Amino acid sequence: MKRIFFSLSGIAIIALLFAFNNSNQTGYTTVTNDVSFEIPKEILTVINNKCYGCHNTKSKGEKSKKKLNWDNFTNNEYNSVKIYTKLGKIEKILGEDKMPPAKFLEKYPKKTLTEEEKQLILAWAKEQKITLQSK
Amino acid sequence: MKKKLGKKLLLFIVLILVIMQFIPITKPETKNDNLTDITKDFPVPQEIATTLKTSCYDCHSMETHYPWYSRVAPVKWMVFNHIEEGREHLNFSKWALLSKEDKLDALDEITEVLEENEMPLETYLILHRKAKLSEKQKEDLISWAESYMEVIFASEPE
Ligand code: HEC
Ligand code: HEC
Repeated sequence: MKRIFFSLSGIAIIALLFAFNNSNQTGYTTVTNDVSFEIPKEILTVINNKCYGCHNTKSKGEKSKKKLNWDNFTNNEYNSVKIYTKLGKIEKILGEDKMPPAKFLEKYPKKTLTEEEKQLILAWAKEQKITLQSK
Repeated sequence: MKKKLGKKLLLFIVLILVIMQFIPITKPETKNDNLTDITKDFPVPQEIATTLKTSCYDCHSMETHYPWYSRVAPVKWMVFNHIEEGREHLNFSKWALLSKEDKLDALDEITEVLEENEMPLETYLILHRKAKLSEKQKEDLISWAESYMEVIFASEPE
């Protein structure tokens, strides 16, 4: 009985390690309700630096997390329609330079998206939308 | 002495209220039978259309019915402001003019505000009891919005 317990825990820990490893090294890949959706590492780095803090399940801001929750892209919460919708929204607000919020940037100017990062996310969002739609 | 002061204060308040009525403010225009209305753009089920019209159209369409109290300042200012802001965020009368992305975004936001019980606005419900959504109406609206999103998603890109 004990043995089974230990080996199960072992497997669980190894699986967890793999999960973390995966998310840190190669970006997230998960199968959502209906599609396999991937966030490549270069995009993930930008998002983690500039967006994730206010837009994840544990964020304090109710509004920001309700409107966009990056965790939901990869934890089965958003299906392909939701992901497509959120990507469309991201394209829109980045086009208008609305995020991160201006008030926040006054305090933390380093969090401003560089032009390069913006173009990177926009290109990725556009491509993902086409891919989602063709599935 | 005290009595006199009270009287003066009352007179003052009445005077302010009277003056308020003369402050010019533009009433948001209204228009019925809009060709670009959501119900003309897509076969919205009758029940859903009725709910939207009863609970949302006063602030989110051109078909606003002005209540009697919207003639009186300062309430009038608040009402006009809700209508202007409400239409800016979401205008069912101009639905057909939205892009695919904007329609999806609007429907997504509709599910959000319903899940959070943010709409219709509290202040509006005080005098519009009929506009209050029952639990069932709310759930029906959310599943309708989600299924409509699927249809839009599957449609050709523009
Ligand atoms: C300091 C916190 C913060 C950061 C950092 C931040 N956001 Fe936001 N975000 C918010 C808040 C707050 C809202 C809700 C705004 C509102 O509608 O009131 C929001 C809303 C949004 C929305 C929905 C907009 C709408 O009008 O519905 C999108 C999309 C978004 N953010 C994307 C991003 C992206 C992309 C980044 C990174 C480049 C980012 N955000 C960084 C706080 C933040
Ligand atoms: C009394 C006027 C009023 C009524 C009635 C009303 N709304 Fe609103 N609505 C507003 C105003 C004002 C805003 C913009 C300010 C805000 O977000 O609070 C808004 C914003 C919204 C938004 C955008 C939210 C966002 O995050 O940008 C949605 C979606 C919405 N309403 C849906 C609805 C729905 C659905 C109904 C009916 C069930 C409804 N509203 C009824 C006044 C109203």
